[in-house]
Amino acid sequence: MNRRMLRKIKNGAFLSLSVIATLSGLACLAAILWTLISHGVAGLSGRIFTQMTPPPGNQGGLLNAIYGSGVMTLLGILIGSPIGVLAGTYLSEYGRTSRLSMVIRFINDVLLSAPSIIIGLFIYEIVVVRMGHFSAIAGALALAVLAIPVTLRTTEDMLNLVPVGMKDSSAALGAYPWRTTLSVLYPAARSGIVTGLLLAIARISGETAPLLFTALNNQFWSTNLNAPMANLPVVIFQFALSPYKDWQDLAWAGALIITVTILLLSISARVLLALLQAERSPGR
Amino acid sequence: MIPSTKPPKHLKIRVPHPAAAEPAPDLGPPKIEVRSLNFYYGAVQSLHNINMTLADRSISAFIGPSGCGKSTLLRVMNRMYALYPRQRAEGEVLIGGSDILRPSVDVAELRYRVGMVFQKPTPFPMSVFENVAFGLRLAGGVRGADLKVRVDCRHLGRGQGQVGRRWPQSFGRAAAAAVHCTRRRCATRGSASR
Repeated sequence: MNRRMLRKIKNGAFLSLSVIATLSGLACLAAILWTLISHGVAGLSGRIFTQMTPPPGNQGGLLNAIYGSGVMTLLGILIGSPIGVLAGTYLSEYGRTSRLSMVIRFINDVLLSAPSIIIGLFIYEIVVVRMGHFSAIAGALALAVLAIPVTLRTTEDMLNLVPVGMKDSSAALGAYPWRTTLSVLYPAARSGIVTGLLLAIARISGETAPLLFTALNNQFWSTNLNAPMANLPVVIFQFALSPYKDWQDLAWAGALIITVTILLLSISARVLLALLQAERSPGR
Repeated sequence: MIPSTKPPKHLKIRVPHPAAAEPAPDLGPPKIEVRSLNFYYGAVQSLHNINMTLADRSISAFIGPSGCGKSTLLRVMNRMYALYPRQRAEGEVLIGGSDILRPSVDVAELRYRVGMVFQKPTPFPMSVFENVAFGLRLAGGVRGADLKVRVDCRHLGRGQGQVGRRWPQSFGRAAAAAVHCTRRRCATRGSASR
């Protein structure tokens, strides 16, 4: 009886600790969302999506910044994710135990936790300085460097989760390793790899530091990739620190837009994957 | 359920002596010949000097307690072990007269000819049709309408045309195993026609 009581008490203690941990995490999230929404909604209007960033004291929107963020994030993912996915495939399928993979894995972990401002400085040195000016391309490259370690790590982890039997069966049918990887392993790990890509998008679309040194900012509409380009994070940074009320409101609105976009992206990806899964197994 | 057949620790069981496994002479010429085969998992030797012949067009079975090396021996015959870096085989395995353990052998081609069905079914993450067609596609040269004729999923049950489009993961384990076997059989048929 005594031991049972003790067990119950221990169980209760651990349960309440985990509930408290979960609740405090969720409370932080709720507080952030609430602050964002309450400040951001006030600044939201049709102008945000139709007008450029204004000089202080004038009306304006964030169109150039939204466009710039979209373009650079997209380019960054397009450049970074193939490298990350292929490198992850190498680590998981070809060089699982080789010395080179151990080195790559270590460097990737360092890169994964490297402060993004360092990445910005790196691209500044090798791209911006040589080109002689800030540019959207440099921004996209900096974001690509940030996306690589995230996609690499998730790809490797997800491929490692594919049952060994599946790989063996494919090999037993006479498939070369590249065919096994393309036709069996990638489909089996698809949802995980896609989640990794979304994580990478979420990570890079909110980055400010690397863009400060590379794409800088632009008060005007520009589609020239070879010139400085406006982007939400830097605009938010600049406007939020300014003394002007209308700039601060725009910064809040921009922050809300980024957050909601990432939230929608994650939710829709999950719904999409769930639908896909349901379609495959109607019996269950 | 079959109860565990693991032998007690004090009993050391080896694969029976090769002479016992010699096929009767009237079975015809040997298809597979194993000569002084030793197999190692890293530093551990698990097959000791195996010699035997298997006749063409005959069914043979390896019988023995769990962990005695039946699967290991099978895995040598299409060099499945080569997928794992620390496993190696010494000796000769002649299939149709040529030694498949030579380093120059194309293992993918070998595995394509020497079929293997695993104990645990592993349907691929694609539709039943695509699962069955996988081996045929590997063989190459079979596509489009021809592929549709060659891939026959009807014996897998329910609703003929319907069944091919679904994912094997949505069926029970037995059906998944059937898909697995059909895939293997289709692949071999493809090779026979080459």
